[in-house]
Amino acid sequence: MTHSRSLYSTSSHSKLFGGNSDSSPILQLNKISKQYQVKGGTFATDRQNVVHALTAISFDLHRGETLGVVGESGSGKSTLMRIIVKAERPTDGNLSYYPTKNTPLHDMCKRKLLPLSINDLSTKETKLYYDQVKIVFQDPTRSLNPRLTVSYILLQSLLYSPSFNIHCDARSYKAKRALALERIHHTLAHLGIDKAMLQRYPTEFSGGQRQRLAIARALIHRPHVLICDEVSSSLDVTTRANMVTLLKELQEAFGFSMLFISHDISLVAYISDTIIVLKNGITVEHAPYQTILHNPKSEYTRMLIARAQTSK
Amino acid sequence: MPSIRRTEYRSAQRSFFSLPLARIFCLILCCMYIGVAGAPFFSPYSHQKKFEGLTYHPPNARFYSRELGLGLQAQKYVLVNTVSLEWRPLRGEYEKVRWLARGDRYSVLGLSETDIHLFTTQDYPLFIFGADHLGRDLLSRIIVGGRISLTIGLLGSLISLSLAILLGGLAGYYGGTVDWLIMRVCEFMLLIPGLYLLLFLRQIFLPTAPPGQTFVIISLILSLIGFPGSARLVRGIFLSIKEENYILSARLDSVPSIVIVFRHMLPHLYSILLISLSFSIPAFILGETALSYLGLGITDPSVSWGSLLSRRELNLRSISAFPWILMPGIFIILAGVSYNILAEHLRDFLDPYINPVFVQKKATTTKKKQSQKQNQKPKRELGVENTPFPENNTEKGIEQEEQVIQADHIPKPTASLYTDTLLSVRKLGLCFGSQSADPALQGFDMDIKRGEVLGIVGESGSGKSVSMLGLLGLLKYKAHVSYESIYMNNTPIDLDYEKDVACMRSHIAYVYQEPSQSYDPLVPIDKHFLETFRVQNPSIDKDEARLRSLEILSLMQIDRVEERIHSYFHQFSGGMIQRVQIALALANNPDILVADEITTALDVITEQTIMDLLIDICKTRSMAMICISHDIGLIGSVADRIAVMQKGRLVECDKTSTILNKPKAPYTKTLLGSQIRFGDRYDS
Repeated sequence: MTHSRSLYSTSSHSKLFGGNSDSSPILQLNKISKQYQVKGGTFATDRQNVVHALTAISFDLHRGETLGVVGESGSGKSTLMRIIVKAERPTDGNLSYYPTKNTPLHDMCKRKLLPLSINDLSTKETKLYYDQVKIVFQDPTRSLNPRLTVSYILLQSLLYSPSFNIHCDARSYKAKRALALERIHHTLAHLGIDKAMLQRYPTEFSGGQRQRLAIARALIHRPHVLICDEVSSSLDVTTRANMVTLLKELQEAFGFSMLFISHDISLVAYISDTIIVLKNGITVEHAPYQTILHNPKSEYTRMLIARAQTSK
Repeated sequence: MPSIRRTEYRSAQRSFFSLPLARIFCLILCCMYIGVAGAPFFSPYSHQKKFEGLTYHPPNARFYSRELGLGLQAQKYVLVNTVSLEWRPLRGEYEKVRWLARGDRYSVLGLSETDIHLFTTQDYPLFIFGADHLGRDLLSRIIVGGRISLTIGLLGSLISLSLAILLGGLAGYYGGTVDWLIMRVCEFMLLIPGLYLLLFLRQIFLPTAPPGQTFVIISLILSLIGFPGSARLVRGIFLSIKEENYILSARLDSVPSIVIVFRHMLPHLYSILLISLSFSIPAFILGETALSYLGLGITDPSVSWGSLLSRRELNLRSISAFPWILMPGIFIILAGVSYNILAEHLRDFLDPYINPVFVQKKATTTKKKQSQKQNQKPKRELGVENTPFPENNTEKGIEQEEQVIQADHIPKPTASLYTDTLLSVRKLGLCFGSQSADPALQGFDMDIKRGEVLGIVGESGSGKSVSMLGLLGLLKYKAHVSYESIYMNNTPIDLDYEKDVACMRSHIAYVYQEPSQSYDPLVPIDKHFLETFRVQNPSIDKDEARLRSLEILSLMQIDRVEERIHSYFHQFSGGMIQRVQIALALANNPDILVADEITTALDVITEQTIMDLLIDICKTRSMAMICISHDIGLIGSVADRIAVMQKGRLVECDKTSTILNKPKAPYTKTLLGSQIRFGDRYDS
């Protein structure tokens, strides 16, 4: 498999980005494009309309790094996230993943050339990949099923996970359940949620608590990549700051790489090591945070910053 | 004058069985099922028992006679005309009805035999509903026939519902080819007229089956006809739930599809399925009736309500001579109506979207009388229980209020400073549900004058929107509103008077947060404007309305107005819709514009242009604006004064510069402190 490196991913460059990232990439996007065919109605004049959601997006996510993606609505942030978790196929481009050593995915793909191309994974490998890359969604009211108890959601999510089943190594259901519960309680302790509250339904929690439960749902799988899609935008101002700080603390505790997607440039600049600014599906700027903070190159970035400064 | 407002909103009924109609029909249905379950016991005779020579015997139940006194008894009849089967009562001849007596033998669940009936007679039969052409008791036959008719409805709709869930669920969850195939089959079934399909299927499935099997076959046929409608319903709901993030999460957690469909998605359908079940049961009962009427359904020796109305016995001559043989029809109608009414009420009860907003006039007037009475009593009993209401005197009241919540830095009343105050509100309180509940709003004071921009800042649940919505009577739920005084343009407003409220509303325009949900998508913009203008001036003609709306729209800096005025709302972007919305709000020249989180759903750059535009318009038209937002940064950049709210209370209200630079309340400090400014960095 030939693999062309993306514009910004020379290893020397990534070291410069600082933060707690080490140099090896975990996720590599190479010229990812996504187009949607918009069909006109029966009587519409233009039958086929192509919307370019993403155009040639390339970046590397390094181990332990926080990569911030800034963009207004319609900039293709959510499409990007859905492509990375394989909920959607890109029209063009390649998405590669470097599995961590001694993980089930790595063991399974020993014979294959690294990195793995996400679109070529078999069903089993895809499921293992799902366990390593997790999403936290924007709206906490919609990310947990209101008709199921929290403990049911978390337990089921873990018990069906193939990585967890390999980790448990064919033990009895009871033993597996106990292990799963132990892991859930451990994760919840990090998030400051009392395990006695597990029997409740999601609607009985406040917005901030629900968002923390959504994070817990992702973290119980011990993912290597965590994608946060506007996790704080539906929260109150006072909760918002806590949430961002919490995410950073969790990153230190669990050691995942984070893709932090938000429309708020001040928030992204607050926690990210590297920042990508998207506009209408095109990378406008891709730079370490220092550059964005002090010397942004693109006009659009400057406009966003100016707006952020006037309102605050 | 302090007055109190407890507006009763008609909300969705929270207690299903408190509805009298639902209760009555539920009772009827229960009685029917109990009667049918214990059919042999409740029927006075065996449904097969033929009384020789009593063909078409008329109903003969009597409650009083000179011979036997009070009590249920059978009048004896004699046949006077054997050709036209005319019966005459025999004077003085009665047979006493015996309660819990021995009669015909029957088996209990096939286990044991007994012969106890609820009531029966020894020598001469009691025909409460008359006898049929073979001299069998119609009541007994109706009770026994109900077994099949009522269970066929339940069984048939359960089978059809399972089919609908399975096929509709598959179609909705998988989509694509599966969806296409299943939906085309459903549409094909829906295309054929129901009765023909019924007859066709009946011909296919064992036309000459033994009576025991026909019951199952008929319910199968009926469910095959009934499922496509429900399948489409299930598919539609599944299609929308599938897009929810929690379903995507479950899929990414490697949860098998079957578990997702049945454990994650199906629970969302429970209420809808329950409603559709109770709507479909009467249809099944009628289907069985139709088949049996044509002689294709239940036949002797089994009985159902349909077979009792079989066309062989039912003709114009017999109906006119012996009308009581139509009795089973009454039972069918009763069961059908009961189920329909039950379903109707279930829908009102379970459907979250039926939530009437408008005020019930009767309730309001009675409450008003109460409140007038209460006004003479000590003020403490008024309104929200938790809020002790102070004396009439404003000054004194404020002092008391300050004593109660001194720590919260309630501002000194500023009303007296403004002579040109547009709207002045004192001690607005509001609580949802029962009065003992936590009030959503407490002691809310507000003054606003012309050309001023007042910002209300608070987190979710702080009561920032509720305060304005409650004032204008726009709340969706039942709420108790209390206040000390409200002045609009120096005239006192009584919220119990429709006229006062309407007058206040005509001065205040409200712009909501969600741009795409605020307007009817099927009405173009110019029609919206026309309707808005007609509120103030019913005689306005189209051309004038058009000119005025063009003027306002260009004021909002919308380009190509001439073409766009005929467009629909979905053809605009979020920012544009918000501009049009503001233009509509400005159409009737309001004095106060309430902007409730109008830019939350918009991009930051669009947000700035819209806010700038709004402020500009407010200043040039010397209009007041109330700007509600959770974002203290945004409010700080536009407002002249800021009111900070927390948990339904006003924490602080002061000039913008004071709030931003020298906040007094600790809460304001936290609010300002938790803002992440551009340039801040996380520091581990």
